[in-house]
Amino acid sequence: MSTPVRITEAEIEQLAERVGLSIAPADRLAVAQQLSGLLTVAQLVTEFPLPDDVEAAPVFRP
Amino acid sequence: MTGADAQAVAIAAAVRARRVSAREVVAAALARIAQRDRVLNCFTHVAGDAALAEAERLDARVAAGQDPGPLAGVPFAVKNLFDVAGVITLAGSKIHADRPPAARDATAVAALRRAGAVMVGALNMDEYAYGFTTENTHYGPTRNPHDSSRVPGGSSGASAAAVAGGLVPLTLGTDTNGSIRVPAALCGTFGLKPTYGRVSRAGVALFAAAFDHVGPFARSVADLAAAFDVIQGPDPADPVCADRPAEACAPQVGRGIEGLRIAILGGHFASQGTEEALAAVARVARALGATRQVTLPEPHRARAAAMIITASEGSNLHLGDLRTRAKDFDPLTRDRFLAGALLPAPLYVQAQRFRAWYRARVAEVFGDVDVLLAPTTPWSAPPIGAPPTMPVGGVDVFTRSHLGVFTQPLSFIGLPVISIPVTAPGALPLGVQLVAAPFQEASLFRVAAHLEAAGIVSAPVA
Repeated sequence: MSTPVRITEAEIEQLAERVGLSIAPADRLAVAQQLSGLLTVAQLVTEFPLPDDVEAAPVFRP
Repeated sequence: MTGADAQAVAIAAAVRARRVSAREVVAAALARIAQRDRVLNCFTHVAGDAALAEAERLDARVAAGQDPGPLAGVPFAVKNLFDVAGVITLAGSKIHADRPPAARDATAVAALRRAGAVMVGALNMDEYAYGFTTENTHYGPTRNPHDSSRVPGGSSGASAAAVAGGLVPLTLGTDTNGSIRVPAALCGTFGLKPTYGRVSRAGVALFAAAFDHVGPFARSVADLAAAFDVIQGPDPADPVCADRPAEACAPQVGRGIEGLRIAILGGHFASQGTEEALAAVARVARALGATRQVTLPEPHRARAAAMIITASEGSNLHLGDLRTRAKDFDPLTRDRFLAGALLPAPLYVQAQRFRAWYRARVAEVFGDVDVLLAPTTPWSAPPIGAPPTMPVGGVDVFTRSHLGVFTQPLSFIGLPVISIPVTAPGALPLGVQLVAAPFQEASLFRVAAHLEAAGIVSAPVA
């Protein structure tokens, strides 16, 4: 079961700056809600134990 | 052969036999579009004169005794993220409207044209394919032909609605998390999401490359198979297209289901279903004599991982525009793309690692079963502008994203799926997913055709 994550508008502003995004103040609450939702859902993936030898799916063919 | 209910294979046979001209067929389709699309709002571009000219060239080939192809004279349309020579590839966006027209057709569009099908237009979609409802703010919502106050599903919503409404017998769409299967279910059509890499995506505006698939919509199993056979196969222009020969499915449609091991998906696929969705699966299972139930390992985590990968890849693809012109995105997608750009990298990598684990475990399930049954959506078409959440089993879920609760765990690992239309008397359509192991599309067609012949599934014009 995932624990709800709460991202604030101030955190959105800081995170956006790190990736070169300028998010309009009017959009920050909605983006915070969306990111909170994604991070909450992501716990279902991160809490699941995977063996070390499981590699990511993409295959690179030189 | 010029009516709204004419099917692709029958049209092609009539055109080849000169019982009707391609021009008559295409002109009738254009007339239906002019009349009915004022309400449905499927088309963002109608080829008009160009389509008639293409039909006339095809008629000339027939008259000259040349082979016009297996889909001779069949009018088709494509989701507006496919490149069509001379047409701007909108991908449902205002931003791409500034771009020049495509120089050449997408591989799948070119294949249909080579087969004699005639391109009559481009179809509405959720912006950049990020949605399940085709409520596009820039181009207006597409409406469900069964009830114009309701969504057709998405993101290939207009591809389903155009077929369901009898505007054209054949369309193409794309499916990343359910964008062919969800609208096929809500509009009551057949829709195929092939195995990942089975159909070329060259010339298609991508959304999340890890999961993007191209596939057809039709109103009969034979039409769906005919279209799939034309577009499937290797293509060096698409780096993920499988280097594996095509296996024709149309000749296998009538083989029946003898020898196929069919089971019902339980667990997540039963617990998240509404009564009506589970009743549709039960009806199909009864007709197939399927009683065994199997489960997939951790499908709810697969859905979560699909969400993370989709958000990360989709946002990365549009990062430049998100930095410079975020205000030009559809308000219905902007917040999600911006949020996806802020996801930490470890989550993406872990989701991809989980994907590899899940693929291996699901492959084991297919060791003793050939076809799995599952609902396509948890409910029938919601109203346009529906509230953002609705209760399921006492818990509020997101009305739009929850439409993918049964489709996402399957496209996550690229399994082939046909959504078949199951409609109870007096009710809106629903879909049931037929799911097979990778590259086993022929098994799906055999089951779908058996059900169609038994009268369990059908896709009459709405």
